[in-house]
Amino acid sequence: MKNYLKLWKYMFPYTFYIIITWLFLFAEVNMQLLVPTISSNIIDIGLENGDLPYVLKMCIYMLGATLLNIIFGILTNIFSTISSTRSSQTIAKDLFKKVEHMDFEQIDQIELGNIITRLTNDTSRIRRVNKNIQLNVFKIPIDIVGSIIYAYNLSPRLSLILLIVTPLLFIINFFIIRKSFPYHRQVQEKLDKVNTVSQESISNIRIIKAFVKEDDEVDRFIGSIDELKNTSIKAEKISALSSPITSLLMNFGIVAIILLGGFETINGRFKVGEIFAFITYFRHLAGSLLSITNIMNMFARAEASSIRILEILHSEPHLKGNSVQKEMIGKIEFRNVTFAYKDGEPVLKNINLVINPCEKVGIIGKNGSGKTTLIHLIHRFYDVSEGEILIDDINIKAYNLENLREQISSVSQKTFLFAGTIEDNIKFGKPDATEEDLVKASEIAQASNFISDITENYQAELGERGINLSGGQKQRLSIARTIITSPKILIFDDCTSAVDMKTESNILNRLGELNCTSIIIGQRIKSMEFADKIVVLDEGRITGIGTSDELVQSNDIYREIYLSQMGSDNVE
Amino acid sequence: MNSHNHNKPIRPEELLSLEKSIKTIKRLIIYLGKQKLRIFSVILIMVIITGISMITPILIKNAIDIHIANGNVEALIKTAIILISIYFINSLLSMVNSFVMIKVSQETLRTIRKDCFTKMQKLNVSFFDKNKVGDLMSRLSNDVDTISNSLTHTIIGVFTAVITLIASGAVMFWINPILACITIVTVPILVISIRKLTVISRSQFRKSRVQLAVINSFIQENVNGVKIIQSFNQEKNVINEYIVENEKYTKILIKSSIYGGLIRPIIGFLNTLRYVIIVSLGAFLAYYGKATAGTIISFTDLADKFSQPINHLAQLYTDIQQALVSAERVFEIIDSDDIIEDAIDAIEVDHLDGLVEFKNVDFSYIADKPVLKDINFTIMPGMKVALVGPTGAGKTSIINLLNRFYEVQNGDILIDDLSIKAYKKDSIRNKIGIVLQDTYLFTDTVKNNLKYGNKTLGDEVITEACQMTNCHNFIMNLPNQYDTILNRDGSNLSHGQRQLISITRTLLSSPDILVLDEATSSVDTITEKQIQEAMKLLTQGKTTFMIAHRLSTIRNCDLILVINHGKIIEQGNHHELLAAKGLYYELNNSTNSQKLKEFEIIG
Repeated sequence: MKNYLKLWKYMFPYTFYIIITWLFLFAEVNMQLLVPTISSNIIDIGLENGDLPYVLKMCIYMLGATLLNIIFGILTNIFSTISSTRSSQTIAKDLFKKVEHMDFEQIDQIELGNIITRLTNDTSRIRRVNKNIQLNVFKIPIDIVGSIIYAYNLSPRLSLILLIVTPLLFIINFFIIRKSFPYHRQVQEKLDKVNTVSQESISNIRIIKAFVKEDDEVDRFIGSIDELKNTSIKAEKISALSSPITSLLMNFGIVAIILLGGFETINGRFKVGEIFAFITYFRHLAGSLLSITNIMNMFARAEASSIRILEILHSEPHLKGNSVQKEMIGKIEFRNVTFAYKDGEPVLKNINLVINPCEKVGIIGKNGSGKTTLIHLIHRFYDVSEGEILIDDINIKAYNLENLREQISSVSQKTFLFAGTIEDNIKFGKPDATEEDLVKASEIAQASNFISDITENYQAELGERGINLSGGQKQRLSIARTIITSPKILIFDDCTSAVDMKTESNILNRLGELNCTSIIIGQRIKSMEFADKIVVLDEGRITGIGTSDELVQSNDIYREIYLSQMGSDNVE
Repeated sequence: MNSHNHNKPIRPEELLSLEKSIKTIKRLIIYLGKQKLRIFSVILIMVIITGISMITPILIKNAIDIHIANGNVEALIKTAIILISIYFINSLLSMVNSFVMIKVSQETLRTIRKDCFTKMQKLNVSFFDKNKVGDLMSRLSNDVDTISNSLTHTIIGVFTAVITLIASGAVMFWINPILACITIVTVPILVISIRKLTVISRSQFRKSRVQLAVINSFIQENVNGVKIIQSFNQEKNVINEYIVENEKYTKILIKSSIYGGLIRPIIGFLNTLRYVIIVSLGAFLAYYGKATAGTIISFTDLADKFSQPINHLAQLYTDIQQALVSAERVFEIIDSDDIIEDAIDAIEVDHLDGLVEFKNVDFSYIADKPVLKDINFTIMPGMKVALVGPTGAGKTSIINLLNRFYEVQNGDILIDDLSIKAYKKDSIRNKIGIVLQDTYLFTDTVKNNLKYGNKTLGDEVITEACQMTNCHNFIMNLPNQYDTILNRDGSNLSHGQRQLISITRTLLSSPDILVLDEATSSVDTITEKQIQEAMKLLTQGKTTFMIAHRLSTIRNCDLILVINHGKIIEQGNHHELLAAKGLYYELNNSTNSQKLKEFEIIG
């Protein structure tokens, strides 16, 4: 309840709609409640006295009330739909924004399948609940108070029945719901698990098939859905108790009305038509109370969804930009930089490195030596644990984040293309790029040839994850995508691994045209050839900086790599 | 991405025709049929409940018209006791009924989910090229959920409705034929107006579903790609695009919810209207002595009972439509026949010698766009083959065919002198170890990932293999060593480490033929060297296909196939190909460093 209420602030902008909804509801309920009283008048006054014009008049009143009832009902529906849908979609929007702005540390810690359920299922649940609250929760007090007032007017003594049965109904339902709440939360958890399993099985389908593990995946999935099923059955069984118990109590109430109303009528203090109207009010009241069960269930689920939504909404990225905005020259300096991922061992240790504007630097080292981390730090995807990084002699923490990142561009190992055309993908970082920019970037990235081989050229659609391109083509597209942004600092993070050597050297040779500082991370000695200086990283430390010739002489690790790729005949 | 890309619906979503709806419903009933006994008992109990509850209006009428009118207190009390007993039994029975129904619906849900998922696992890789992960996910979760939410209630509801209709109709006629006729006339009005409304709301609902799928795919992709998006500073653009899509969805959603939400007040209106008609007409009839107060009172109750099942169904109607749309989407998967079936006499093998032959193989992913043309080669057992060529030349496709992820269009692939189609495809895949360029690991422990191919492996074997592939050290540095659970996509490991694990995973599955698709390309040279040593040991005597760019790898291969534009243009070993001065020679010398060039040639 508590968390769900927090999300109600999203309804505030629609206060006007909510008030209107409430007013219409009030009118709607009143029109409904008028009908039984009118009908008791028909029976008790009209029929008793044989007054046909009176009966006719009352019938027209009833009809009028009914017509107004539906008009108000439709208006209620429209206004409540607008406010609840708008507010829940605003939540979805805020969630999406939050996720897109998460820093890398947060992203590393969340599960994808999880986020997507929050964005879709949880928000749509909030929408339904928001609407139901307006239609039912607002309506319940009106129903209860209204029925009791109308009933009291008929017979204050019989109204005692309402006053006894009503709280009883309420209490029983309250207990049932309280008991079922934890189960419903479990159901949600199990559902998450099912989603994670299926997401993974679909994405990993090739591996699964290659290992002939389809049956195992099916078993894993069945395991997760069985858990979900069992939990759901438990949760629903408890909730299912509520309806029969409530209707039993309600029917007892009706019998009591007939019995006591009968005695009163026999004693001449009450009339048959009034018994009838009384029963109708009681039904109305009990029906309204019955819907409380659903509402409480709904609240329980809404609460679970709210917790999950708020968890994201309340998360704050640790990384925040600052005010410096400038055009970079492209000097990078690491001063005593040490870095460790959250709760981990240091990945980079005491890094000192100066890269001058327009310099071309190669970084080479083993897997896990910290190359990619080093790049992430330049982008300020993570903050250094110790030391500082300066760009143009200003600490990167002082920069406006957007300003910083828009001038630093890197192509990563893992290519991730978006659904859309090749052009959309290349222009991703610079949507307003001209045709000329597009072609030039593609040429430099050596992508223009294969693009022109495709019938639709730049307009060719890429499937999810760019499935209809080869690994090398995808890499070249992502290189073009980076080049087109004309960054001041350009980083290739081993992004030519699937490109053949000739193409790779063509790309690297043309980087000179770009007038920027470039950093090339690679595994191939050949990729390092074009660099002004090469940095050798090993286990998070820089072990050597120099040209290839220098390093072959002075750096053991570099020599080892060199020998393994070039053969021993190369070293004198 | 620009928003226009997302405008396109994933598939042309046309309205479900009546014929199609009936077909879908029939299939859903078949699913329920698996629980005949439970459903039968539910219906039986329903009949009993309905029967008993028909007695109550008669009792109430008598109490009002006879007992109260005559001042017979004793009879009134007696009636009250009977009524209470009936209500008690009814509540008890309906409780039992809901329990059974919960079971039925949950079991059905499970079965549909299972069938859908099982089918997905069987489907061809090409199916997953065509369908987006987000879309498949939403079918498996949202759609199946929608089905179950309404399915059981609906189908059982139909039975109850029919029984209730007949029973309450009969009682009404028995009490007062004139009023009964009037009441029954109101029913078609109710039905027709509800039908009209549902047709509108149904098409609206469908529209909202289509846009939901679009927005889900959008979310999926842009949450997946959030790191890239941030690297390119595109958060704002992506968010703006989302806002546009979201706004579109919101509008459609509001519209469809309003239409859907109309049904309730309109049903309420029609019910009240009927009540008004009964009371008015009853009063006139009573005026002429053709009815009593008790008649009017019991009739409002009976009319309620009579229309309740209709209302109930009408309310469920939206759910049913949703269920039908969803069911169709789910059945679409279950019905897909994009499966490579084994021949009836396909043979099972537990060992392959590794003689691989491609005979005049043609292949294309999309019709008229050939990817491989007339591929011919023969690989003797134990040979190491390098596939070399510019990116996009068709190397990966050759490997896909070898795994029988796709079927050749023309020609044949022979393994150990038998067509690949003569084998059970599972047994072929079991014996072909593969390392893909994208390393996919599972959210599970390192150990379980390693034993993915063979669950029975002992810890020692795993550790040993990890030592050979240089995994052991970094695994031991993880928080829980071999029991560390890998993140989403193994993101608590570096790219190279993940690659190493996926290589080790393949090695541990002890294949007879190895396929390495650019696997070694992002492993650093030192690690690669160690892997290659281990690989040498493990690939000994085993046919190995590699797509690699590193010269040292290619040079050590027995055969190099140079592929360009889907054709093999050169084949031979390193020296032969250099001597031939063809594309291989060119690729090899592509670097402009004079010094390196010399060494390559000498090397």
